[in-house]
Amino acid sequence: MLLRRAQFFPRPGVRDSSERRKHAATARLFAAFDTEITRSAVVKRTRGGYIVELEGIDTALSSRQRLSWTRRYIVYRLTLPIQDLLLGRTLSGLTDIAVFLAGRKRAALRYEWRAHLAGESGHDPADRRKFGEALGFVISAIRFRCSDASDAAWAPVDAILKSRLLSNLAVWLPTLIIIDVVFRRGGLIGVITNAESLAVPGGLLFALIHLGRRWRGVKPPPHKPRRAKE
Amino acid sequence: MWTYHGAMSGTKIRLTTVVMDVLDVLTSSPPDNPAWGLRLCEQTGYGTSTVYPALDRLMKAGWITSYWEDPPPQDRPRRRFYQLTSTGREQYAAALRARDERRASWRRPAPYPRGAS
Repeated sequence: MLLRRAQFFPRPGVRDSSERRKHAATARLFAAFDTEITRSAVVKRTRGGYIVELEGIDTALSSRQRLSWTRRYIVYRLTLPIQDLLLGRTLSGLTDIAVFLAGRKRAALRYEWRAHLAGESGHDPADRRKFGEALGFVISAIRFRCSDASDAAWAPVDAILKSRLLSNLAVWLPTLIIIDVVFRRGGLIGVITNAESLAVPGGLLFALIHLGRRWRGVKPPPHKPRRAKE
Repeated sequence: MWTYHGAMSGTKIRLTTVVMDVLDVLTSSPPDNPAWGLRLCEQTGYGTSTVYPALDRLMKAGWITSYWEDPPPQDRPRRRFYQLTSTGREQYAAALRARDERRASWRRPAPYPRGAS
């Protein structure tokens, strides 16, 4: 970028001339350079004037200027200020999107992430690294939401794993339903002959409950001591 | 990576390398210069998409807490600082001890059986 910039020569008089004042508003966003447009330059006609591509850099040329290959022009090139401006807006926009995605309960992230983008000094310029960080905020927000969804999905499972009653129901209810179906079709003999097959789903569910407790780090309440018969 | 079930909070924390690096930075941060998002990213070397979700998980588990810079500075946005809670400190130390013991048990050679030739 610096090499490309060095190929242009800012005209010394431009800074204080009336020309500069005339284009003061434009000059905030564009930098003026005195250069020669060669025949090899790619020129595009736009509504506002010409866009001239000089060695890979887009420069703007006013429509008032008549294009000629023999004279020097003051061209207005998109330079870092407008790139900064656009990047700054992009960063702000990305942060807003990230905060929106993160949800209301994380609204404070807006201020935290702005402080992050402002850097150690508090006034760090916007650059590509910041753009990457702002994209990271969006990814973070999506991960927050995924985490929330995962927590919400696990909540009923955790409730079953935490409660002995619900865990027992989760094991016994399907098992009893299967036993009932077999009993209706084959009677008691059917249940007895298929006892091993009937024990399999019950055993699997029992194992599943225990594995789930271990995986989720959930401990059921301790057994209540049985009351002695009076 | 292994999981550590918080003894007090009952929340499961997956002690990934990222989480451990974040916890290490938080442990080493002095109270007068606490860690905040950017510094955590710089010191751990991870991006924002990695560090902030890890901080969120740790906050949910109650291992860390956050507070805003007070008083807010005039010339820049105020920062959100993170610090380990006493629970987090204890449980992280317990998790590291458990890890070291587990590793030591793996490395320890099996006792030589008596009578074996």
